[in-house]
Amino acid sequence: MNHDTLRGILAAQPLPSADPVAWEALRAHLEPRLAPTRPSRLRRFRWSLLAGASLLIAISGFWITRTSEVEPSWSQVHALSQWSSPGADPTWVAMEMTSP
Amino acid sequence: MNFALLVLATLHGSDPWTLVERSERARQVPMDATVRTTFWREGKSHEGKSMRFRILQDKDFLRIEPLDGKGPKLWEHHGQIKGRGGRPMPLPPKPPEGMELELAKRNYDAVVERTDSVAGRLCDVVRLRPRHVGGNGRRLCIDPATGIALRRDQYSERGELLRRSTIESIQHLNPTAKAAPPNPEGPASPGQPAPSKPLSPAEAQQWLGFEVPQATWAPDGFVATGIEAHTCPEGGHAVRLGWTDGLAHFSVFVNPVGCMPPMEPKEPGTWKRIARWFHSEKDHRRPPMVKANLGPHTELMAMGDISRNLLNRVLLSMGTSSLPVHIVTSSKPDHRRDP
Repeated sequence: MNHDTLRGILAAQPLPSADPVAWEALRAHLEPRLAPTRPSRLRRFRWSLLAGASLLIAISGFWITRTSEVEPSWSQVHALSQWSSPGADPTWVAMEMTSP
Repeated sequence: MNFALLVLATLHGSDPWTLVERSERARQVPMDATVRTTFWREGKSHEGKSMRFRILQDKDFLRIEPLDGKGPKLWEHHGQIKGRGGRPMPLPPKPPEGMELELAKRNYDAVVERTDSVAGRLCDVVRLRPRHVGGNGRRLCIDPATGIALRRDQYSERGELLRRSTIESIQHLNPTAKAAPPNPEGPASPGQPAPSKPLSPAEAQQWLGFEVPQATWAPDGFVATGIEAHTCPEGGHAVRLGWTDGLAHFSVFVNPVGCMPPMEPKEPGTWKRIARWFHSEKDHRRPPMVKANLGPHTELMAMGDISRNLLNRVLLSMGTSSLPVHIVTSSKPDHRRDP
């Protein structure tokens, strides 16, 4: 039984056969729980939080990729040393020299 | 096997090495070319990645521009490589004329397989197979009219296609082309030895400040090409030792500890793992790299066209009982098979 159904029952008049004291006790018990409550802060700010987290992830991802230099520049020196070799593939050297 | 290749070459009527030699001469001329290269992982032939470059080559400079996306530009001027924030990089010395081709003849079997068509032009296909274990095969598609290799393929040991470079457009330039490099900087820093000249062991020792370690082992077919002087980004002195079998190359860099920024932390944390995931796309296009320590004060770094285990073996052979080599790390898992 959902909240709307319960609210409908409580809004209705008590049945003639119902015990008015018990009815009022039930109403007093249920009404505070069924009153429309203010949404939680988490719920109110969910879109802001989501946007903030996305921004944080994007910035940290960008920072990680920019600051973590996995390969040293020796790989470029090595690639360039093959430029005039018969086995060298010019685009291989080009890729090594221009990779971010 | 060799006899069969000889018969095939004879039937076709062309000497494969003459074609290769001609394509090498054609590659050295001033040109403006657009090239597309596609890379595959070994065992994943359906996952190819492509990149396009414009290569502007003249007698005095070289300029490379990536055509897909933005990237730093690079050029060579008066023997200096410029680019990547303007930091000058010494131009390595060229090997003696014809030395590498002679080595390639010794280490590779070449045969003219058939004719093929690239961009509507018929070309002769030359297949090069390594005689030694652990090498990569090549296939060149050479235009008979100009001698230019319109397509270059590289294969793994198991015969899988790993890399394919195709020339999309090419234009020969006048050697006095007006395409001058922008912002040419001055010569190398004073005190730096001439980068176009290989160093003798004594000169290298003087440059480095200590004796250059010698490798007592190299893979089959590979010979040492010499020692070159280099400068670390922070200014320290380093040398490069090179080896080649004619077509494949590998290098060992020797420098004092702290001369180069660390390749990766000893114990990679979560952030570094994430960073490596970001970098993983380009990792398979890079040659394997191995870093080692020689005693407490010297760093060695090896990289090139051979497997990581062979690089390890070369590095370990550079140690002595008093100065042992300790392998520190390797840049990526190695998918190649070792002999």
